[in-house]
Amino acid sequence: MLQNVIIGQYYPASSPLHRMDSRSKLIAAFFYLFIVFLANNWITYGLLIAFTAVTISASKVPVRYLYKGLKPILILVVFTMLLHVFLTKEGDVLYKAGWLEIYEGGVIQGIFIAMRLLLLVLMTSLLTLTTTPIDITDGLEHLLGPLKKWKLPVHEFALMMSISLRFIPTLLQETEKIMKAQMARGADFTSGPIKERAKAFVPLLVPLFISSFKRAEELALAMEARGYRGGEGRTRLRALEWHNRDTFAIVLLILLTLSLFLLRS
Amino acid sequence: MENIISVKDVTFFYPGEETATLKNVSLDVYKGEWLSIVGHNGSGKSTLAKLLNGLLLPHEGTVNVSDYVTSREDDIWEIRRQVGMVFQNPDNQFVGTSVKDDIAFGLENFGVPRDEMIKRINESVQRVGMEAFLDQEPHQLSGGQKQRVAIAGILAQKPSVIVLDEATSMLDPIGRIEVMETVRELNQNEGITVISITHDLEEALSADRVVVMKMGEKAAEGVPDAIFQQRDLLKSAGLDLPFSLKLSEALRRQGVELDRGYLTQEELVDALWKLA
Repeated sequence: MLQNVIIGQYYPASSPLHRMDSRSKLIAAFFYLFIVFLANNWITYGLLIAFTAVTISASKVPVRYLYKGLKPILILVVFTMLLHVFLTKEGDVLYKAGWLEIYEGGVIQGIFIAMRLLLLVLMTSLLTLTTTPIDITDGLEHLLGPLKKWKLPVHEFALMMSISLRFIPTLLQETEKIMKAQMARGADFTSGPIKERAKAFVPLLVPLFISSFKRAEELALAMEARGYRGGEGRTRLRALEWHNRDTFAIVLLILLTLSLFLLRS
Repeated sequence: MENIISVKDVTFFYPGEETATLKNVSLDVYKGEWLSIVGHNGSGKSTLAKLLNGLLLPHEGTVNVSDYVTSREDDIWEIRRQVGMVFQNPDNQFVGTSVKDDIAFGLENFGVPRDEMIKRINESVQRVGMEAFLDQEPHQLSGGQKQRVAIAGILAQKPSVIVLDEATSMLDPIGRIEVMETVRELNQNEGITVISITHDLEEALSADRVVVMKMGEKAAEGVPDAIFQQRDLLKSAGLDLPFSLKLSEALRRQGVELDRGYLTQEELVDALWKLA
């Protein structure tokens, strides 16, 4: 049952966005985080929404799939919106009942903030929906490469990530095995009050923890036996290729930024 | 015969332990042979294996691989390239996220250029018969398949020796046959020296030479036929005799006139049907 858990939230498809280099996607998503804050009127928000809509349609990720990812964040969006609606006291009063006053500025501000949050979450989830975790790791390693000069362990970090990704299914299989073994001896993971259920997980976690350490030790030995000696002088099989479409995407983003600067009030 | 590995008077202690795990062990491995090192748990056989490619360094004595010495720091990488090692647990030596990535791991470490890497991956994956699985992830493979990928990873490094450190002990019978067949072909057709560390005497039967380890010392060394006649020695080393040998012994005790213990089922059957 645990094997069906999807790692990350990658949506396999073959869209222009999927085929983009992970570096350009990472740069674009990061850049987007900042330019969203440039928007401050209807036109600029409209522009951002249009851009995001085009990107979504280019990704071929079904909207229903996107919505599933958005669900947990919706409460936060609604909450921030209401907070702004009730607390911002600008512009004309739209509604008044006792101590409660709602201003026009508050409503507008609330809508803007909600949109800002939604756009941010949509774009960043598009990154993880269209890029496999291992590609993201590779992209990050390349992009952060220059930081090695300041003794930042970029290669080690990327290797750690890729080994963790590789061991997730293995550890899930093992969890399932231990769970069955404990269930065969009368352990109950599925019923009882939450406190009891949390306690039931202790005999599951302890063996898992111990075996992970053992695995780590053996893996380190195997890596050493195969000549691993850190990132220095290492070549790589996985190659990232920067295409025209990547340049195009970045240029598009720069144009968007310029228009935002021109149109914002 | 030409030596590929020579172990000279090696003594090894694990930190914090009073008694030596290996005491004054000397051993020659000849080029192109299949050598089995057998012994019970704690006999020091796995420690010996880890000394062969410099994963552990001896406290006394030396380990030479052709012209290289494991105690010399500049030699260690060449030694690890030449002496590939397959470990016991198939999962805990699979580093890459896919078969292709895992075979590449060793090549990446040795700085092999990418084009050459792709060539070598395709070639070595064919030699172990895993070419259909290049893009598979480790959890989709059986134990035997994972061990064959590990062998392919070593082959890509163009090794001269493969050390199997209990490499088949966690596999099912089919996986065990798969792996042994693969290694046998490499040994016979390509002249790769094989050192197989095992507690399974059946597996040692087909070796060219057998070394018996007992309490950190080399208890015996010789061709399988000679070694397996020394039943008391094998028993005192905590090893279980191969089935055909046990059966011929039992038959002899029952008065069946066999002139010696037979090692393989075939030999035993041949001897039995010739009885008057």
